[in-house]
Amino acid sequence: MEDKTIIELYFARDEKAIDETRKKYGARLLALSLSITEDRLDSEECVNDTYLRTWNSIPPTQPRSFFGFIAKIVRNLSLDLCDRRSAQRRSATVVELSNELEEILPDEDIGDPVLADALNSFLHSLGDEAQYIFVRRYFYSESTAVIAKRTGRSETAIDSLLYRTRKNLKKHLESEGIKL
Amino acid sequence: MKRQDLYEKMSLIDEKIIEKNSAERFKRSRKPLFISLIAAAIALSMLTAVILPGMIEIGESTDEPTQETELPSSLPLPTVLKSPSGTIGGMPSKHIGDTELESKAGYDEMLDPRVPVDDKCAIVAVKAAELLPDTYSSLTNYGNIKQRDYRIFRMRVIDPMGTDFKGEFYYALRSDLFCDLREYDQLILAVVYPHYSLYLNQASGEITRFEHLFFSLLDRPDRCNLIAFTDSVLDPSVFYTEGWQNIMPNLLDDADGYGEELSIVRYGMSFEESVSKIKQRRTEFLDSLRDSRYFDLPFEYRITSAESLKAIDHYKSPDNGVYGIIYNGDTVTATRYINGCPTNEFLKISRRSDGTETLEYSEFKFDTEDMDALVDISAYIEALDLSSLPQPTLDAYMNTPSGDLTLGYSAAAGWYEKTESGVESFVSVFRIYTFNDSKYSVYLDAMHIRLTTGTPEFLDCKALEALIGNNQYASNYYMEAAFYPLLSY
Repeated sequence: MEDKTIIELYFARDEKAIDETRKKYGARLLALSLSITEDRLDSEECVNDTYLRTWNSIPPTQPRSFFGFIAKIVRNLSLDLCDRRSAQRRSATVVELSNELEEILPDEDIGDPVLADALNSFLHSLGDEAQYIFVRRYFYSESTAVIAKRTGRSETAIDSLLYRTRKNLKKHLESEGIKL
Repeated sequence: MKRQDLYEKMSLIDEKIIEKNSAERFKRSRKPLFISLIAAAIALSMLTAVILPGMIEIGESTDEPTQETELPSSLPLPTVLKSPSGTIGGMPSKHIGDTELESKAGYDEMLDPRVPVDDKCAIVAVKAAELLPDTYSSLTNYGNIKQRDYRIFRMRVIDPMGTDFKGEFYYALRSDLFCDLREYDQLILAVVYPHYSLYLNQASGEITRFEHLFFSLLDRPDRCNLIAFTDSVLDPSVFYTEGWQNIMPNLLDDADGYGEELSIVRYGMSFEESVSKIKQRRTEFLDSLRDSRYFDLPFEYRITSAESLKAIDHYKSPDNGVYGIIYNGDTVTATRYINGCPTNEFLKISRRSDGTETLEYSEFKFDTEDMDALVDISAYIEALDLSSLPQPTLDAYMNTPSGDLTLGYSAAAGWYEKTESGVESFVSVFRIYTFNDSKYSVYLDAMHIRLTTGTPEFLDCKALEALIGNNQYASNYYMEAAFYPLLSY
């Protein structure tokens, strides 16, 4: 089913909307959550909560991209779940990725809209491959080994490209007046 | 002031971007047919050059040796330089930021003068005579410090194939790709000489220097520069070992030819025929090998402007020095290496969204006079007396309690800087730590040794910044340099 039709089902308050969402995107949402929580039961819980959160959000929200919209929800729920865990149980992936981005820590005074604008303008400025690798790493939380397979490049090349992209992101945020 | 966790804030990424990048595989954009054909032709020539002998003969004289590498008739044992006793300690430091170099000079200034080069690569036929029992490690740095482990073979040359390789040399094979090469009757290897020669023996913890060690360029999944023969017939079994299967899927999937679409070499080819084919195209192969070592641009990155093409030609030529190249999506940066160490001489080509290119150069270039004034950094590192170094202390890093960190390595990297007042030679010594709850590594405390005057002068980061007038060295040199592991803990 087309995303547009699924969204129409949500607007019509038709519960088939959730079934169709699960059918079309359930596996991808679970994979995304698993890459963050590293726990299947936790991830299944996050995915189920995603359906509920989506049901409660549409309407009134009209997503610009349906998958992007629900992917954000499942990612946030998975990260929230990780935050609730004790420090010992915090996912190694979350720690690793947070550490990788540790040199680019904006002040909390910077509002989300400002940060979102700066982040997205930076991503739009990247080439297709650099953007793909960055998003796979830091949004989808994938390992460099997986990204290497997806792109046909070596892990070393992925590491190198991510490193350069992080550096450029830092410069970009600073150039946008964001305090780091 | 509290900080935001940027990883969590990645949820702010635009939904369209998230969806655009949700595909399981990255799809490269389609190119016009004629460009694809040109790219395929370039790819084919490069790949066949590096990989395997060709079926198409090109009438080219092959008897003149082109390599100047002198090798002993039999190898000395590797030298143990120092044991990891003693500590590096001492000077306060900080994590160093970076800024862009400004470009002022034009391209024409880069063409002159010519300077000596350190560019050693070859294709040669050998027999594996010995496998050293221990694993040896080096460090690489692409944002994260990574240890790379090698098993090392002693190779005996059975056909120099037009080079000066007439004796024996050491050959380093990545441990994750290990295959006992002694089992094959002959091997044809495309080898390159690394910038560095010091390795950490994992068994003894000792730093070991190899005088004649070469290795393959194995990081590209679509390349192979190792050909094995059994009973004098090409034997692909080496690529069916576990590590190779991961990086050679295309070749292994090709049942009819031996990576037919890539290499034009086939199963059943004899050792003699392979040697003959390579000799006929040796110059081309060596050029390609040199390209792959230093200028490993993806094929889809097309340089188009006349000025950029001229610049590329310049830094590809071994007569103009050795450049390490880094490709970052839309930018290619070539950094000049001297004595295996990075310098502040660089060239950068950036591609704009409209397809045009911009070209930047470093302000300074190293000329012949500069080369004479440079200190041999590698020799200094080899002779470094660890116990004589000042004691660094660990600074707090991003509010991370020191208890969360484990000291991994101490390492050194050499680099050269040309300034308005002359050339400088530095060694930076720093510690590398790993977060206890992840594999992520950071280097935290650094000290610097200025060798320019002949008498080592110890500097902390602030003093170094005051001396050279910028703080770019951390990203521009640490990141590009070969690391010499000094101690293992």
